Amino acid sequence: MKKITYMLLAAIFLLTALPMHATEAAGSHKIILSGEKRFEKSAQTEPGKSLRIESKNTNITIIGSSQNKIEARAQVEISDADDELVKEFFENTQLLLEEGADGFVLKVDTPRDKLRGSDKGLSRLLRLIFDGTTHISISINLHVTVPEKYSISVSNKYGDLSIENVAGTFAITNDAGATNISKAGGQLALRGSYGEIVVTDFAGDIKLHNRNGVIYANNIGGNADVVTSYKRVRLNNINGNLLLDASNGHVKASQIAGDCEVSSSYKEVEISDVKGELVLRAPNGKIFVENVGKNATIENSYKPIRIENVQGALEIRASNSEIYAKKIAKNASVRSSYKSVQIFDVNGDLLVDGSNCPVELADISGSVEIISSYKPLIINNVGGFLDIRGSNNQITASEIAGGGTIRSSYKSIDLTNIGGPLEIDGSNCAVRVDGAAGDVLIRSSYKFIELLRTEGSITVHGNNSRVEITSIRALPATANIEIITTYKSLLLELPSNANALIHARTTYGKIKTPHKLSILDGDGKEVEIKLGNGSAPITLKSNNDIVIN
Amino acid sequence: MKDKNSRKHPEAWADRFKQLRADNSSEIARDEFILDLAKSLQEKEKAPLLWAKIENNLREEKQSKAVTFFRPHLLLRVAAVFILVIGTGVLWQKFSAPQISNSRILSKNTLQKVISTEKSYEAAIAELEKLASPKIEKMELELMFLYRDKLAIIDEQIEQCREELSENPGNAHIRRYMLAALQDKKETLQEIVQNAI
Repeated sequence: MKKITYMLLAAIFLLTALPMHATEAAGSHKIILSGEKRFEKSAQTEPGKSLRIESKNTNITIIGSSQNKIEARAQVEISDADDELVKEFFENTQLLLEEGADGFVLKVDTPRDKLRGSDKGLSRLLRLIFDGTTHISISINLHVTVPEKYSISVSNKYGDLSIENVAGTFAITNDAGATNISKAGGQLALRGSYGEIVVTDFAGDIKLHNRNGVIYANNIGGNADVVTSYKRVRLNNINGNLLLDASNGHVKASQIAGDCEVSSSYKEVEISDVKGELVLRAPNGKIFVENVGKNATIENSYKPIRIENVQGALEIRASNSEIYAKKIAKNASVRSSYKSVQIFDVNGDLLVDGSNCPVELADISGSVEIISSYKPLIINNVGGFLDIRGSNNQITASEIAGGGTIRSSYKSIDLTNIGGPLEIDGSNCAVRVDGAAGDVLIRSSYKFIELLRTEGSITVHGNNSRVEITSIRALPATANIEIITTYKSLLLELPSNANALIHARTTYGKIKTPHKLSILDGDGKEVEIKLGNGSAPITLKSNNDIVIN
Repeated sequence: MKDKNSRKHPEAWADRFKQLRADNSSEIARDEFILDLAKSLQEKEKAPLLWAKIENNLREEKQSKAVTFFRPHLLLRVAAVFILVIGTGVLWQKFSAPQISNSRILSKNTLQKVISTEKSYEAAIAELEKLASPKIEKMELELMFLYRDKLAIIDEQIEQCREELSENPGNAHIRRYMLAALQDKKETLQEIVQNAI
């Protein structure tokens, strides 16, 4: 009796548990009594032909094989509580593989619309009660093998697509599904939306258009034309040109063998190792660029730009962007505002147009032109001429081989080792020049003007400025010194071997000198001093004391 | 008085006893029961083995209790096991974690949980939209257009998913994209509210 009882219990247990176990095994959680059926089709074909797949709710896998035939296996799964409906569904479902003029067409034909109408009575009621719907849920897995050289056209929705080991022409639309194409070649035109697009090891040109979806492409043998919006783009090792339009996507591109044109906005852009030319427009996005083989042009606003190692010319058109550029092989032109500009190691001329930008430059082989205002400018080691059109800038420059023209106001100008002619127009600027190989012309007012170690002619017009010129390194025979100031004292220290004819006049001060002088007026306010052969004319005028050593 | 007579006349005592016994049979029976009970309670062994005996007795008592436990009818037992198995299955289905992993068609329970998640997203989005709208209006023009376009694209995705789900409600793939779109919208609105750009 006991044995019978146990057997009965075991039978009940198995009957109850098995349906749950069966649905578990097939997926993770499926509706009890869901149905699943497999279909297969195959056809002989030859390389170079094409296959078109039209589908929906289908996960598609296409793999190239060495065989000259198409093999398709479909696994169709539906949910339903009604056995009869499941049966009827599968009886009316078929996998179609038809050959047309342009190639094969593959389709899973399901009777969804027809069944919806016949879904009546108890089954409809049951589904309404248990599922809250009268519709059948459906999902299809489609696995296809084609010859390795084959063209593929797919139109799919709400399913993932994978293509591997096929070379041909690809025209693919896969909406709301991930698309993965690998180890393939030929020409790829792929449109998607929302799903991730991944293309790897593709020998040929690719055109990817993903609406609000992530794009990854790696090892592309040809050109890449990529359009997306709002989502990330990662591109690596493109063996052709790259054209990328990511309206609001984070962009990372590296190893581009050809030219590279990228546009994005409000998101970070990182580009490295471009062998060709780079054109990058990314307003409001942080920009990082490294290793560009030819010219680089960058447009941006409000976010920092960092660029290193450009083998061609660099042009940056920015607004309110912090800029750092280093190792530019040719000329560079940088425009920004309000944020700092730092540029180092330019093998050419440099133009910086930075309204309100603090500027720091170093190691520029050519000439430098700076337009700026209000913020400090620090320049070191310029091979050419330095031209600063500033306003209210504190300026510190050293090792300027070609000389310079500097206009500023109110803030100090401190120059060291200027190799060529120097002209400074500094309204209200304190000026200090230590080492000037060429002629020096300085106009300023109210602040101290100090010159040391000059080697050419000197002209200083200082309105209300104290002027000191000392440690003159050389006074050429043809040199001309003219120092005029008002209300403040004037000091001129000449080299011991100077040949000069000095004419000095003060209105209210005194003229002090250890040299022998000739008084030209009655009270010694105007004197003349001859040193050596007197070849260099020197004119000194001030309302205050004049000291000549 | 009675005792004295019975000692003197044993036969009379025996008769007399028989008579009394007959008259008081029920009381005698009770007395005998009490005496027997008293005997059974008497200490039969000496103290050294007492606790071992007690433990043995207790063990035997437990075993006897287990054997003599209430045993319902066989059909009742079968029904109980049946209910237990069904109940376990139902509970397992109900409380198993909702996943949209690789399954292509969602179970009823998972579907309900996913729909519930969607609703919670929609509620959060509705709240965030109230906060985000005035912020969008104050944005610079280019950024405003960008966000409006992004939100319009996400809304379109949600609408397309919703339309598709009305015919294919248990499809895990569509549900996944629906959730992704809702999450995307929520994050975008949070970005606007928090001025993340």
